[in-house]
Amino acid sequence: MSPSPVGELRDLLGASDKSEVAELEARVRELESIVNSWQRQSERIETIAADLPAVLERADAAGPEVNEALRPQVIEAVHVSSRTDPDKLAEALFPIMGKAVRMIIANMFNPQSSNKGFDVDEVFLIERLSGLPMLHVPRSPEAGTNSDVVAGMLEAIRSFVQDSFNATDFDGMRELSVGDVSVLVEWGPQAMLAVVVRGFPPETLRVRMQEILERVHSEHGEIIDAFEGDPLTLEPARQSLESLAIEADKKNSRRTLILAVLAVAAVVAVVVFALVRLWV
Amino acid sequence: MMHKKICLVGAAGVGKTSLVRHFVSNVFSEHYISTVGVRIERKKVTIEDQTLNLLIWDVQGEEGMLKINSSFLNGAGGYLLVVDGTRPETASTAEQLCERLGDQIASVPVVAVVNKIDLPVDREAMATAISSIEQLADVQIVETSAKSGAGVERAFHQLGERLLGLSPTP
Repeated sequence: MSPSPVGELRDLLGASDKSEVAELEARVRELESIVNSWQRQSERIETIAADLPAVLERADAAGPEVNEALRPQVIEAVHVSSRTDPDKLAEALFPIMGKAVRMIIANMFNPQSSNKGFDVDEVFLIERLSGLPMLHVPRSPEAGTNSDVVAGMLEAIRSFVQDSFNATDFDGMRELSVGDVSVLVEWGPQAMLAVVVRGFPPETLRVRMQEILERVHSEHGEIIDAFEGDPLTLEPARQSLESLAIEADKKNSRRTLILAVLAVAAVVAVVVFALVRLWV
Repeated sequence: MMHKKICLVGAAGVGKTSLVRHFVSNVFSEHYISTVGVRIERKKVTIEDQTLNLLIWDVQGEEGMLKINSSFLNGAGGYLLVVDGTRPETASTAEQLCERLGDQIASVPVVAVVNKIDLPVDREAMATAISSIEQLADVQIVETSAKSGAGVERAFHQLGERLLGLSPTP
């Protein structure tokens, strides 16, 4: 007996459903396989990431091959960063650049100058706009009775030089020298640091001045901003300024000790030489 | 002790340096002003139990004040604007200076010093000239004679009082 038309239609529809289900099941298996593959890859990456520092450390110890292999990629990455986002790169380098540049400059100067003595007579922190003294640290209480006028004159001389020679660099005046007395000046955003030195200061003194000026701006920036002429407000910065004079004294003491030891050694050598001559 | 920078400005020959000489003892020799264009003196004044260290920048006055190095005036807490009572045109010079300095002078106390009152002064012409300065800055007027010393202390004290935020004594 031939199937009724309704039964025939049901068979046809059922065949279509079965085929679609099989198709969907195959697709699900395929997707599961992809997800599993991703998971395996992710686990592998996590394992590698966890081991990478140790691997690199060991590879570095074993030889330069890994460094050599990585170098082109690192250089290219720095190049790309400097082209696409130079501010970010500059920001990242800022904390080390200042120090590095200062050390290079310090090393460029004749190291012989550091072998001669120097004294720090006075240290001034001066408001750069008005030339008013913000803090004054003299070596002795008698020194620097005219500190306020001296601070003003430094600013006046700077203004005079800048105006007379149309100097565009506001921070141009960095040193005044008369005989063996020098005034070294370092400029910060709101204040300048001036150090009166007698003798031959090493270039490292200027590096210390820059460090101290940066520290004073960073630690006492709000007081400096609100300064209205009362130096007492800047007293918390006194220790930083005093450290310049103290360090100079320590270096001088060390130098004196070395010279004393050398002198004693020379005397002993002469005496020994004379005694040997007598005995021979 | 509070330090304040004040600037002494005015046309050449109005007696700025003579005024300072009456008020302070010299710290630096005269040639500083001719080489650098400014001389700085110090004077401590006591006003109502407060000691104020005035750092007086005596700025060289060139003819017409047109070539004054305005960076000498940076950060000034107040001004002594000196005019010659016998020459009303020096008040016009002072007015030009006020115009040029704008906010730099308008935002701080100013004492206009009419100097040389020991000589015949054209008060009417001077009053007219000074009134135009009053339009440009917060000015108090003091008459002085650097020759006799009359009014000199008062001029500096009035500025000191205003720097401390006090009302000047009449």
